[in-house]
Amino acid sequence: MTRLRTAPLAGLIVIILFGGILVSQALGRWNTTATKQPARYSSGDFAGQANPADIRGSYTWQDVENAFGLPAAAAAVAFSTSGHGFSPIDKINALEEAYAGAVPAGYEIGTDSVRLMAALHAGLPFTPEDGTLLPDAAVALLAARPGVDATAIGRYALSAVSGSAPLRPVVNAASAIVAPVPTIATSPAAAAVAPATATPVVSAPATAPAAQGPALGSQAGNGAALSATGRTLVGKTTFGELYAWGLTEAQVAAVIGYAPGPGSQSVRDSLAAVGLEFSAYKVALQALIDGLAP
Amino acid sequence: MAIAVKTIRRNKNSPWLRRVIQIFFLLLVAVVATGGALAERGVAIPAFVESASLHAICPFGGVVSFWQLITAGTLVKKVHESSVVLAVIALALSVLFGSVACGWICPLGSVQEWLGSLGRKIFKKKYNHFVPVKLDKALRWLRYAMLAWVTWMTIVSGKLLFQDFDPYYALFNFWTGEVAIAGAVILAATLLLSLFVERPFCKYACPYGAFQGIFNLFRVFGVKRIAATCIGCKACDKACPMNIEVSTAGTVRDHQCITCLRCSSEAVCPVADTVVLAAGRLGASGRSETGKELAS
Repeated sequence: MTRLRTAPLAGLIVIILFGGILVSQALGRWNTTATKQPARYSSGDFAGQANPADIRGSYTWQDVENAFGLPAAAAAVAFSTSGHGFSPIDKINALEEAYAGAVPAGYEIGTDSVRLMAALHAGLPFTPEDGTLLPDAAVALLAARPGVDATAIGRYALSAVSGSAPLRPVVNAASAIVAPVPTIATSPAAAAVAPATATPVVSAPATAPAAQGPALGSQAGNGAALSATGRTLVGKTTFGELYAWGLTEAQVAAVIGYAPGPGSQSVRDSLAAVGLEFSAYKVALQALIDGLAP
Repeated sequence: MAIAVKTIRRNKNSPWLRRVIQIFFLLLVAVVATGGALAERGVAIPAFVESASLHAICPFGGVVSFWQLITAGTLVKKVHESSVVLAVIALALSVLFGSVACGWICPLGSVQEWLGSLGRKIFKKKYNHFVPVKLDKALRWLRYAMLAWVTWMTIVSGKLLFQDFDPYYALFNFWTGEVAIAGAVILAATLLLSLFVERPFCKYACPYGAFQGIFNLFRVFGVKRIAATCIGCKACDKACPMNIEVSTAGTVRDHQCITCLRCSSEAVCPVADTVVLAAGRLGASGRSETGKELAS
């Protein structure tokens, strides 16, 4: 019989536990966070492709773009609310808090909504959980893609279950996908400014129910983005003005994808200098502005 | 031939050694649970748990992920590879020593135990004996039903559904607002019951404890009572937090033993080398065959 006393047992417990962790580290198996590389379909027509069902709440919008091609900036904006403006570097698990109380009982806008959107965007098979919804802006974003069955997607819209009027999709030639700008509920002044003719518009529910919370605003597709805060991004707006309004350099960089130029440089000029279209980023930046406290 | 019985002074260091380790792991888990807030305040966090979530250091996540890992090569949501690593390590510890993770590492078990010390002072001998024996024995199997239910639900849903009922998760997240009402209620009930029954959640409801307990049936090192020198004082029975009758056992194979060694000759047993943790068979006389010590 081999006896083991208390002190050696204590030592063995510690040694085996931490020794095992060290060995797993050496083998590259000690991962305490998600790898941000979703599992792949193991069989069927889509075998080998990334499976949106494996998107985790710890993913950022950028991680989702990397895995599924869903444009991070546009998607982040599409899921933004008047109280929560998202940027590509934000984690998607913040959605549940952003939409808490804003979605009818039995429904949810959360991580599963992002899975659904990534699947619909990439044309991948995915079965959402019961009650999974998409913000109207996200539905509009998807519906703007060529060949998409807007009616089928529309059943996931928040407005489809909350009783408010559905959104019309944005179409913008400058970008394959442009999301509508979520802002504070549409003001009469904004409605008056919004063009009513050929310019595609995302319209907000005429009377958004108070309980709905995150209200979607209006945007002139080719003109200035309208904001209830009165801080409107136009072509002449400089980075300095953005910072003065409260945005940080990191937030701006997260949207445009590179370090912003000097404060005196206009956003449009800066983007043009690197071959980017101002219109493709305007909505995302405006969403961040609108997400700031008035 | 009469057998000489050697009495010893109790080694007071042994219980404290386990307590030090329990406190260490409680603090370690607390650091992980509050890691984000600590990092924001510039407090350094051990590298191996940096940015880890509570789920990342829970071996039970690795256990309930086994089916998805085998069939799909993926882990249940919120579970990371580190959980699997810890599950494997805990498995090795269990094969060697039984449910040692429950008795030495699990912070929820430690908290229940420390509250139990208060209950023992209040209720004296009545403490840990409130539940009728028959009912107690039946209730002890509940945790296997819990294990089956949690495992099945995790396999079916691919989610950690137990999180909403898990007092361990509630204990380390009560300040975050992420705790489900059920989890908070179960934690409160667990802490309250700990004043009457030692380790109530471990005894009756812990699914991971149930899993660990299976290994007590064939662990390499087990708690053994040397009948030849046992004086039948039942001090071991009284000390056992899990109400196991060590005084009638040769080798303790009870699925509830947490290898805390409170029954041993290093703690309450008044006779030297009579209740010990050891590997190998007892001799025909109930004495140690070799008496060899792995370490001392």
